[in-house]
Amino acid sequence: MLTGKASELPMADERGKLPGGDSYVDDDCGPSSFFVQADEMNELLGRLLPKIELLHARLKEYLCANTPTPWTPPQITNEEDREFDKSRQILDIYQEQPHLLDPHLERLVQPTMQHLREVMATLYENEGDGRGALVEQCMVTFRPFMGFLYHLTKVRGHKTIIKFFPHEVADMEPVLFCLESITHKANDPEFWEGRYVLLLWLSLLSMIPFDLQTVDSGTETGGTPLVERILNLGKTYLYAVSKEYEGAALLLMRVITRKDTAGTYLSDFVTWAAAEVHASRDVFKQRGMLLALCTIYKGGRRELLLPTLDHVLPCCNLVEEPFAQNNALLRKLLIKLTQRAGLTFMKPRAAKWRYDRGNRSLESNLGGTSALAPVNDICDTEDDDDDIDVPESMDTIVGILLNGLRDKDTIVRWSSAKGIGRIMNRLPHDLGQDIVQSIISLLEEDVLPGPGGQGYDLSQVSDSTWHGSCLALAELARRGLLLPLRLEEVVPWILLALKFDQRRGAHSIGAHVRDAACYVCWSFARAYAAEIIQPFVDALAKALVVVSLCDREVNIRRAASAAFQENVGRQGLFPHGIDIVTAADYFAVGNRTSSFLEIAVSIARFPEYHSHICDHVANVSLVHWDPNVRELAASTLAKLTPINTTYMSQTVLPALITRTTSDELAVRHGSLLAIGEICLAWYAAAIRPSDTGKLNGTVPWRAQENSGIVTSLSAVIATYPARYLDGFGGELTRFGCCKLIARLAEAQWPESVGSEFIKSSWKIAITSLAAREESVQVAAAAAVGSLNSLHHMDDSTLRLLIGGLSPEKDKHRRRGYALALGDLMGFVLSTNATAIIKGLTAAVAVHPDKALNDAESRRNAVQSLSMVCTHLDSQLPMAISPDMFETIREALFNGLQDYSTDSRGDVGSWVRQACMRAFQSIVMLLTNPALDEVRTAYLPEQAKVTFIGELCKQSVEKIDRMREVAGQTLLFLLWEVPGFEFEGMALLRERLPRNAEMSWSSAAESYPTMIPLLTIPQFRIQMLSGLVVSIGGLSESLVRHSSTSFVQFVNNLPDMSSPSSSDMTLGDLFDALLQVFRQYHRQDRVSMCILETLDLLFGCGAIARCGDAALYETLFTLVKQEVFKSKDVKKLLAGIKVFCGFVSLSAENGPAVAAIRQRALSQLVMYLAHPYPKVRRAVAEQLYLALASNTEDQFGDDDMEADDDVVGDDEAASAEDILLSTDWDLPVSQLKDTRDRLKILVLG
Amino acid sequence: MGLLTVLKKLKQKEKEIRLLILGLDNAGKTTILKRINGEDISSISPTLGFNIKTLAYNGYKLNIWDVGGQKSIRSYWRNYFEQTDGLVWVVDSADRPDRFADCKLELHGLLTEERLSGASLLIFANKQDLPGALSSEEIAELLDLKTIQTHHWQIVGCSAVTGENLLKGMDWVVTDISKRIYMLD
Ligand SMILES: Nc1nc2c(ncn2[C@@H]2O[C@H](COP(=O)(O)OP(=O)(O)O)[C@@H](O)[C@H]2O)c(=O)[nH]1
Ligand SMILES: [Mg+2]
Repeated sequence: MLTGKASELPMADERGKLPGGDSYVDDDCGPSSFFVQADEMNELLGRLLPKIELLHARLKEYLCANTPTPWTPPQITNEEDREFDKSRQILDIYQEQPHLLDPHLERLVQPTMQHLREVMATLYENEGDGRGALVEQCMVTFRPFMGFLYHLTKVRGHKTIIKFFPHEVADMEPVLFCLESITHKANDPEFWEGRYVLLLWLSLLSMIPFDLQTVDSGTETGGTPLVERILNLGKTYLYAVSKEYEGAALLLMRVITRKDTAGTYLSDFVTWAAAEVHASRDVFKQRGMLLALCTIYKGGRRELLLPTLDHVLPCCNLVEEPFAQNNALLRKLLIKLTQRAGLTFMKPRAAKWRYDRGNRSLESNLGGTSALAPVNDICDTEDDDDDIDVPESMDTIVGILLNGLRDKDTIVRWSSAKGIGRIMNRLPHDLGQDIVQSIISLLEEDVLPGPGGQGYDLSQVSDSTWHGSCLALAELARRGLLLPLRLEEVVPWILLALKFDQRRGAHSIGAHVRDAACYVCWSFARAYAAEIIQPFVDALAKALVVVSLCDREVNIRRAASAAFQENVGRQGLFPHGIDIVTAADYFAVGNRTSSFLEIAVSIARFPEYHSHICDHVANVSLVHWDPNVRELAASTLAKLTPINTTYMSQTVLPALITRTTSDELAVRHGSLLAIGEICLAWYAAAIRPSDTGKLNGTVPWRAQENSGIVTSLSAVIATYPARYLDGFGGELTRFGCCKLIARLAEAQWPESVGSEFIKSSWKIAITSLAAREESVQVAAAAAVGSLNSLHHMDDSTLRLLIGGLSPEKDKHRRRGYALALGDLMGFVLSTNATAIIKGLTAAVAVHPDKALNDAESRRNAVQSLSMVCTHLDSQLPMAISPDMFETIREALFNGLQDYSTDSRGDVGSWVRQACMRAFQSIVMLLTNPALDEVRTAYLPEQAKVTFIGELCKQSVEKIDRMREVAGQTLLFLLWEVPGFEFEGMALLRERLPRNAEMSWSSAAESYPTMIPLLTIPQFRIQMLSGLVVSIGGLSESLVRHSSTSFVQFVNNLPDMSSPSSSDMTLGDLFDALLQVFRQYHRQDRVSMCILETLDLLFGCGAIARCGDAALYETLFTLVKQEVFKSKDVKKLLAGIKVFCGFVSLSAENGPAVAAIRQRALSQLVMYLAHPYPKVRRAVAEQLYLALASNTEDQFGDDDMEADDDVVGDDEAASAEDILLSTDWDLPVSQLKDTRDRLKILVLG
Repeated sequence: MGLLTVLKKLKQKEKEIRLLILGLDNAGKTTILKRINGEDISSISPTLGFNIKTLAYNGYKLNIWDVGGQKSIRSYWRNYFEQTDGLVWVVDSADRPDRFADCKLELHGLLTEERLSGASLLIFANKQDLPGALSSEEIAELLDLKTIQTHHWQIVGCSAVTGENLLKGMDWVVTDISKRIYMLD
């Protein structure tokens, strides 16, 4: 009866969970909530374990044999190796939630261990000279099993796994024997997992409650006592480079803290190890020794260890030594040892003076659930503080730990903080208070008075020290060691730490400090009774709320949210706690945008939090180093404005206005953004219809009390110095200005304040159009649009913009101007529509000079064309004639043919995409009933069909994104636009039903659906021209999916139509293909792909099936022309494949076909002397294959008459020989003869 | 390591409870352990060494250590003290009268152990199903439980054979432990 299985207690009842922080660690946050692969894992083990049985059988056979015969332990096969890999991969899934494995651990560990121990027992029974070698041999088979066990310890922790190891007395000696037998190879990297597992096992066995001497079978024979053998092993492995040192430390602790061994071995070992730490400068040695000491002081009995402390205390001081300063792990171990030394000095107790909240769990607060109470209350008979004897060394220990709080490495600070918490519990009150004071002093270090003597300036403090100090305070608070008296002093620091953020160049640091501050707040919630925390609730609640919603980092938002939730759960004091916990939970605060814009805004509706949230967003988020956070903050302020316009306009806004002239870019940028947002929101709130439906009516700018704001704000832009706009960060400032201008214009900013505002705004907006950053251009264009609505653009500016579109102008300017023209509306647009459209349509055209081409300009021009139409709306017929409109359609159609590429790839796709969108908006525009009369004039039937055909084409092209846009546009036009009809629509609708749930970007899904659309004659040519590009493309999966669907489609096409039906035939397909081929003749982007498509069609037999000599003739000529004198190897190779396709045609089909076949052969033979060796090699190979398959056909068909064939058997055979045996890499001059010979053989 | 990690670890830690079952030999320790684990109790032989069982209980994970109680072994009990949250002391309520003195002595000895100082103490007055069994009150008297002031304690009369009151006792000890939120580590 060894160990038990984890099972649900059969009689267990259901009980509620403890509240507080539940969702933060809930099991369901991860991939699954239980061990999904349990059965799979069992099966895996079931397949693997017989290997050990086999080993055991062979071993026994060997041992029983009278004459020694060589034996081999079974090897692990590759297949088994893969199964072991698989088992590790499964376990790795649970790395984050390893407790899910718990109910299955027994089944994972015990069978394996059982198998291992049986073999080990056999090995041990037969112990004798040279039998150690047997162990070594068995290890080969053991290895992956031990690796599996190790992996379990890695995922779930050795403490948990070890509980399932066997631990009978009888196991002790076999395990020890086996480990000893492989120890001469202690550094063999092959088997460290096994050694680690055996060490762990031995450490568990060393817990048996019997005198080890009685277990030791070697005592009588005078061998080394068992204890010493274990000790030696432990010492050896303490030095190990791999994880064995951890197992060894555990083993040593177990074996020398036993009742029967401690007296003899403990003190000696500690002395020895301490000396080693001092003497050695070998990191591995020190690491092992220190870990062993830490483990011993943790697990051993205090009374026994107390006398040894003198030896280890000097070690603790080593933390300052240079060798330790370079090694965080050593420092961490030294800190741990210091902590353990401190704990050994002092008797365990809970500090009498600590703060005790009384009813400490919510469960009992809520009325308790247990039927039984303890019979007694603990009555402390402990000594009073005065009687506590604190050794002098404690000063040193505490000093080292306090210093560890400032360590540069997080792990060291954590260890120090924990150490301080644990030790302080055992110290008297006064000493405890001194330590708290010291921690507070650490926070005060390097704090400067804030600007103007207000608050503090934390720019000089060490973030590490603040992190460590907060951790320590949290650890103390949790344990009730931070007395309520201290809170008044500590809380203000924690409030600062919650928002700790130190600027470092372009970014900032401090997230770890904020996280630790959240930990402190969380600990407060657990430690104190409500009345203690009451005075600080207000400040803490506000700070936690803003951090949980407005911190940049998701883990900090979540940490703050956890702390807030804990406070609400345990204290119930935080205002609107439940509402906030519901709105701002772990998952909700995961998304930054919605945390700011939705949750923070909704919580700001609670008056208690309103001003704090506004202030934080305006003063912290708005000046954040990350421009995205600043933008988010500005948008948030807009949404906060209507909640309390007075606060926003009278308190926040004036402060922001003064910040617009800050020399700090971030401050300037943020304030410009925010001011515009706030003003527009303020305006909107003021004129919003009241509940009675009447306009509130008072535009704030007219109110006397706001004249100060209006005046100063009007002046901001006008007085902006050039260095702000054109110096460092100028683009960002311009972005801010443009946003501000746009918002103010939208808010009907008064012109009367002086033309200065209008003039300067126009100037900045127009000059910013030429910015290099696209986002700035977009903002500038929007500003132009809004300004134009407030105050018409003058003629010269308009001419400037239109003129600036021409190709020789700077490309940034062209882009920006094109955008701006699309944002114009109203009078200026309707009176100048023709000029604007002319400019824009010209800008869509691809310029013959590549250097002048700019895809973004073209894309913007397309967008703007559609915007112009949309803005004109029902005025369209007045502003633009149908002829003018035709030029727009042409521009869009041309844009759809834009396949320009540059170093960034297919940049034309941006234009094509914009054109598709533009077509959709034009269609939408024309649904306007006011345009009923003119609809057909502006969008004739043929135009619709052409555009739909283009959409079909784009929907089968190679870029996923394009297929998606095209497909969605198609679906939209087919189903969502009332009254929109065109030829072929019904057939399209059949294929693309409404709500067709299709992933257009997935090639596997879209091609099978789209390719059958080829049957619709209206769109066939266009679709085919798109499809061939995918079929002949480069990306493997795209080619595969498109060709498979295409071949399938082609194979189902009938040879010829029955007279009764108009169904598409194979001939129709080839007609279309020829058309496409002609259309794209010598346009490599498409024509090369057509060659590939032809190859595919030869391959699937479609061309042979068609049997139309005239078609062959045309096709052959086109192909020949296509590759004529081409220098493109890729194209030549594609052409060669097609020629070979022609060769594969059967001459049986008549003299015309035979003639074409002959011409193809001659073409191929010609290529055998091509200047490129690669071409020669390819053609030789292809030709060989073509000839060989022809010969095969002959043999396969007895009736075939050899005379009919162009090449006779013998000739073919020798031709094949030559093709194969010639080295086609030789210079062409040396190949000419061979080629000529072949010519005769092949062509006769 | 941030707060979220701390919380995750803490949550797991707070859900794990370590119990140590001790008592004189033949008191029924192993039988109780097997019984609450739902195992067969018909063929239990004296414990040679120790048993470890892991079982889920009311959302907690209990690690229960059961160590043999023969006189020669008792001095090794302290091998198993570390991080013990609860001590379950099992008494054979129908034991020979002379053994109760021993029983009391061993129990009170344990209570002075530093490393058990934070543990809750549950006394199972076992074998209540046997005719001559003393009541839990009588056992409490015999063991002088009322003098215990260093530990939360409770005594429950039970029978490992019938299963009576085992759950009541386990319930108490788990609840008592879970109420402690300060860690005495
Ligand atoms: N009648 C009765 N017998 C019990 C009870 N509990 C245990 N026993 C028996 O007492 C003997 C010793 O039990 P065991 O669990 O091995 O005691 P341990 O030495 O404390 O582990 C066994 O024969 C059990 O069947 C009980 O509640 N009632
Ligand atoms: Mg037992």
